[in-house]
Formats: sequence, C-alpha cells, structure tokens
Amino acid sequence: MHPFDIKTVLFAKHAQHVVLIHFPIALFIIGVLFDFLAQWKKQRLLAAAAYYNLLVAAIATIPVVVTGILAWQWELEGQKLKGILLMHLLMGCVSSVLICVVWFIHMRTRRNQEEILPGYRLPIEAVAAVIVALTGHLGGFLSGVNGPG
Amino acid sequence: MEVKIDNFSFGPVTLTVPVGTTVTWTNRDDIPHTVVSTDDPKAFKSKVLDTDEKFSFTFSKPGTFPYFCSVHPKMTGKVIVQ
Repeated sequence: MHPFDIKTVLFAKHAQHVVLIHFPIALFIIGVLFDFLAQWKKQRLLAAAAYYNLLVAAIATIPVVVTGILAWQWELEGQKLKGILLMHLLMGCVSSVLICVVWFIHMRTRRNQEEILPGYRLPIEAVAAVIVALTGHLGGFLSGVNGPG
Repeated sequence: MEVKIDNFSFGPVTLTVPVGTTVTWTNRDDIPHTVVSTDDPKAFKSKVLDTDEKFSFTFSKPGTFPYFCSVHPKMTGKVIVQ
C-alpha cells in the first residue's frame, strides 16, 4: 500500500469512520441531556449548552457520513450490503437526519428570537437518542468493540 | 483446505499448500468479514461473507499470498503455495 495514497491514509489500518463517529454520538446525547435539563430546570445556560452541543453534533455528522460511505465504496467496492452492515448504513442515515432535524428545530427557534422551544422536539430528541445509540451499538458490534471480539 | 474465520481471526493464520490447491474460507463468526489479497493487483477478493458463507480460491502459482479482512484490517492471514 502506498503511504501517499488517499485511501491508505484514510482507511488502511486507520478506519477514520470508527474514530470520528464518537464525536456526534457524544455531542448529540449530551446535547439532548442538556436540553431536557434546561426544560426541567428552566435555565437559559443549559439551553445554550444544548444548542451548541447539537450544532457541533450536526456538523460532526458530515465527516462521519462521508467516511462511512467512502469506506463502503472503497473498502467493500460499493457492493450490495445486507444484514448488519445494511442495517448500520440505514440507521446511520436516519440518525444523521434526526441529529440535523433536532439542531434545525433549535436553530429556527433561536433565529426567530422565540423564547420557547416547541414541545414536540422532546419526543423527537428522545427517539433520535435511542436510534443513535442503536446505530452506535451496531457499529461497535461490526468493529468488534461490542461483540465477541 | 479450509480456513475458518472466527472470533475476528483467520485460522490457521498461515496455511501452506501445494500448487493447484483450492482454499475455502468459511465465516463462522457472527460478524461479516471479507477475504482480500494484500497484493496489488489483488490475486483474490471475496464479497462480504455473512455467517456460514464461504469463499474459495484456487492457487495456481507458487508464492506467498498475504490477505486481510477489509472490514477489520487487523485481521490478517497468509497462504504459502509451494
């Protein structure tokens, strides 16, 4: 393998997707936790912390999705996926969309200078957190972290 | 000759066979794996193997053929053809 080949740099024995994925997962789950706490405690500081966690989580999904798709296209040559790999791909896409949707709800409220975030965001955040966790579990199972390896 | 894929490893890691031997890899793991030659151009490359799926390749030339799993690059093995 050539050390200056982009595929080698990004994937061979490095698996950047596996490294980068921890950022949106952690940021999103903590962002949701802060948002629930902000709702409960009625604290603006917690709401602001939630917003910035969700913002960075949404940004962090971009390299994660890109590296995940590139790993599929380069390492597996884009072959038709099935089983756990397919489930991980689909749930990863759903997770990414939900993270961005949650951030968008918060961003729109801030942009419109509204005081109160819509209540419907809380069940969306809860469902998104569960799907993100399940996607991460599947990824961990695939990489051997959560599995028998 | 058979190589078993289990618990994130190939077994045996190194297999020595005569020319013309067909080697079959069988995935006994719960996780999907691949069998990909390290050489460039690749001598052999399997599709993603789910549990109990097999991949076979006939070695028609002598030499050493290292390979790995492209889903888990730390999984490596070698076939020595004499």
